[in-house]
Amino acid sequence: MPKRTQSDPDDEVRQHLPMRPVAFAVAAALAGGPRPGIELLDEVNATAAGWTIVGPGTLYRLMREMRQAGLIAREARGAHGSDERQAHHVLTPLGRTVLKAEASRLRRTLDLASARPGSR
Amino acid sequence: MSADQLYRRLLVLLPRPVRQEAEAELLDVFRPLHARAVRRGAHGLVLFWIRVLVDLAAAAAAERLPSFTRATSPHRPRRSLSMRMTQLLETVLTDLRVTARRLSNTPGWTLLASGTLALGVAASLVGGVLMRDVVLDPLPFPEAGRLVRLIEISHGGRRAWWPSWPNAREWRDEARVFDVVAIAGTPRTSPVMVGGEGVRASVGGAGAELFGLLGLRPVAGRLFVADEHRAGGPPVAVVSEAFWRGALRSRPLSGTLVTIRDISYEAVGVLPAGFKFLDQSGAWTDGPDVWTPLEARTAFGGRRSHGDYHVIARLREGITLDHARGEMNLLAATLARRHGEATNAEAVGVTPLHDVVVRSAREPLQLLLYAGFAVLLVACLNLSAAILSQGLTRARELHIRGALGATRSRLAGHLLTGSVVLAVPGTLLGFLLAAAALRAIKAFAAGAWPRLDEAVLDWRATGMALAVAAVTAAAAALLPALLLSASAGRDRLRARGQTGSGEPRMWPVFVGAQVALTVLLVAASGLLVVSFLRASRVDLGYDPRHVVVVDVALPMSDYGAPERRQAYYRSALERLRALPGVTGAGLTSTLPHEPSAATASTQIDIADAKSVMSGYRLVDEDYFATVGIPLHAASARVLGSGGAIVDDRLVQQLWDGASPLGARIRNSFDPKPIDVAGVAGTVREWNEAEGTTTGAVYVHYSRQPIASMHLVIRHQPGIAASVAGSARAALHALDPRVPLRIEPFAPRVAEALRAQRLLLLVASGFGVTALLLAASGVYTMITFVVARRMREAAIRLALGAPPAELRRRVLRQGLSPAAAGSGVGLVVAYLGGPALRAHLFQVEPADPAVLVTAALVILGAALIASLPSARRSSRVDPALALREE
Repeated sequence: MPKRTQSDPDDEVRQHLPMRPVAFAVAAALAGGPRPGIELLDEVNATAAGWTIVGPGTLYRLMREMRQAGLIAREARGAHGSDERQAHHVLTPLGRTVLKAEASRLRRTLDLASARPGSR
Repeated sequence: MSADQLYRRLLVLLPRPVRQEAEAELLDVFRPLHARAVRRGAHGLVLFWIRVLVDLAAAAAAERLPSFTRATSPHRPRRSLSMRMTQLLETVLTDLRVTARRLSNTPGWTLLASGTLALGVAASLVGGVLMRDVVLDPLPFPEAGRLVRLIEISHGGRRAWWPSWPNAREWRDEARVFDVVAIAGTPRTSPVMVGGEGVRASVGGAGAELFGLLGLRPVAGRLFVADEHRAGGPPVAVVSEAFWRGALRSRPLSGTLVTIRDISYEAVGVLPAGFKFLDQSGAWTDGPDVWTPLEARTAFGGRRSHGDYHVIARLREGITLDHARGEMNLLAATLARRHGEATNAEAVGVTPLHDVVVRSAREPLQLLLYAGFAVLLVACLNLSAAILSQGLTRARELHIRGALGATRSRLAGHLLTGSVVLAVPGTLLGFLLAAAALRAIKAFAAGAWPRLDEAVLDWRATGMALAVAAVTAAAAALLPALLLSASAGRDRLRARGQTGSGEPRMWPVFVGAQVALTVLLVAASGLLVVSFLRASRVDLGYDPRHVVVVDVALPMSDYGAPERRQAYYRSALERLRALPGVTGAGLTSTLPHEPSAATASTQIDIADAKSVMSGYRLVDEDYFATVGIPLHAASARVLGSGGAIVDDRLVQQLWDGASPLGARIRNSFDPKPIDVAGVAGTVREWNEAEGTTTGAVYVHYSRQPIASMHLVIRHQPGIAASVAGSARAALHALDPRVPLRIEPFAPRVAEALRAQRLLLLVASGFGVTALLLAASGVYTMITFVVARRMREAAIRLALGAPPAELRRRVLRQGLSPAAAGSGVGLVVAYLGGPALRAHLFQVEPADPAVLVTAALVILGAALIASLPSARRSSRVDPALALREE
């Protein structure tokens, strides 16, 4: 996952596309608000149609890459009234923008595939 | 240890900076996942930990090997290594579950496949464990790799001798290439008095360095101290664990005395059980029953030409064997010049002790190892064919999977994973079979090979069994997996039973390969059988049948005077000859089945006469008739007049076959020259080539009535046990304090063949196993082919084909690959036969009768395996068969 660079905002978003399915699943899970790691793990495993399965170590590496890319951030324990025993993660503004861009890209790809003869 | 603590420990797989940063976050996810797994029970917990380990391993690999995480293409979503590994794990677990369920639904096939695998695992495990524990494992001494044995070499390296005391002592004191040199007296059987009772025991002398060099620790008491090794030191002894439990009845050591040759030694220590050492003949066997300090009481002779000691040494660090040999040869030359007297030590033989110990077992066990792997290969081919046949019955299922999107690699992986499941029952069963086989080998042939009792199925063997089973199962499934996945990948769903559907052309190759290997094993077994039969029938020069042997060891306390010993033997012989059923009794110092024992230099009593090594035998007049040694010239009565009888071999060596009667000879064991008055037949060991047997000189025992002799009793057939009992009673009545060992003679002679017998039995076991596997392979193939072609057979019958023709077609299908395999096997057996030559007696490795018989046996088995299917194919009801299709 490319690190943040100072450049045109569109370029900054484009360099994160296409997102990996697991990264997309994490970002989508955070779209509704801060979540702890275990809930993100469950979301990823549930939404990845069974063909990608992550564990704590795998998830950690993914989350670290997304943090380094500026797409998500980790909150201090106990912030927003969350469970003090668990650290929560939030989507950054950049992350939200990238999520929307990836969702649009996927929607366009699906529309294109649906328009082809024999694809229904 | 809690789950949290365990997980924290496992995080050590990650690099330290990552671990420190990630620990809290990882635990946040780990804890709830663990709680869920606990609620699912033991099964869930096991799967959970497996996933955690794989996840951590993948993450650690990704952290430490970042190159693996690079994207292969910027436009394709990539899966990291860790994700691929976890997905692979899930796939494998699913396949394992499905396969386990399917195997439990087909118990017959599962049992057959597991049994096939088990036979291969057992054969290779037996061969592997024997090779490892008997030959490859180091000796159980500290720094065993540096231990060597020293011997004297003469006649340009052609003769070898046990070292003499002067040479051994000077090697110990002057050699610079060893850091320790230990000397031991060669063990001797002696009468030992314990609490007034006499027992026969082997007694050895331990030099001051011996026990320390071998790293021995007593299991009770102590070992010798330095003061006990000096000349005239206090009489103490150390006993073996078996002697302590047996003769000493595990009594407390304090105050326990053992009397040897009128000297009472206090037993101060007990050696560990299982301690082995070189015996009188240099074989590695149970150590002496009693050890005394060598230097304390030994009257060391100054002769450098007569050796009776074992010398073991440890090479200094960094000294190679060649360097040591060179140095010792220089030392030998220096000593010879210094002393200027006759010595056998023209050079010094330096041999790794490990090689000395395992020499006799190395080659036969290598052959058994190869045979074991050959059986494994036959089992692997057999299993491969069975997996293929089962896969063909699942052709429709595999086609459906392919149509639903399963890739060829996915299908192949599914079939491979499934076959590895067989490794579990195959390992268990194979392990049990191997354990039973090893137990039988050790019980049947203890002592046939050195260290045989050390062969055990330990955790390493368990791991070996599992690995062999898994690899064999995977290898067996590989080709069927590739073939079946290739055919399933084609976009067709054929109707069942169509001609030619799914029968791979490789099938006859499977059968042919099995048969070729089986021909090799059966031919080798056949050669060993013939060799053993010929060896056991060889004319040894005497007749051990219907003879009982009494080993006598007269205690010197009562029989110190030669006249007393002679009187005992005379009385003993009189009593034995009077026993019912006894047809003759005699006396000898050395039994005839050990012609190489008690040899000494013999020469004609003239100046510059050639000397040869020959046996020196103290016998009575009736000995020859009792054991069946023929006399050619004169009668045995000449012995009583002071004459000697020489054997044919010695006549050839000293007189070139001319008559020796009237000649005078000298022997190193006899202080006076002896007149030759008769000639006897030569006795031999079974594997001695013509012209290599040691000759012998026989003199009357009254010349030197020694304390240890053998009484030989010939009796009527079938009464050995009662004669042995009567003999014991008669000799006990003569003197109850004389320790005796009484047993039939023929089994002792047969002991010489025990290594041959063992090799034959194990190799034959492998041969029979391979034969059964190959026959079952033929049966499986033919049965399946006939079942698949039932429709074709029904059509042929309906069109009027004679049933006999159908039977012939099936038999041809079964016998053709078997015949081809036999041909290949015969060629390989012919070319590879020389490897067996060292183990064969009077039979050539390429003996055509044996090879052809082996091939015919296998073809016969293939024919028998094909008959049921041949009969079935000619009896099919055409209407029924066609209706079913």
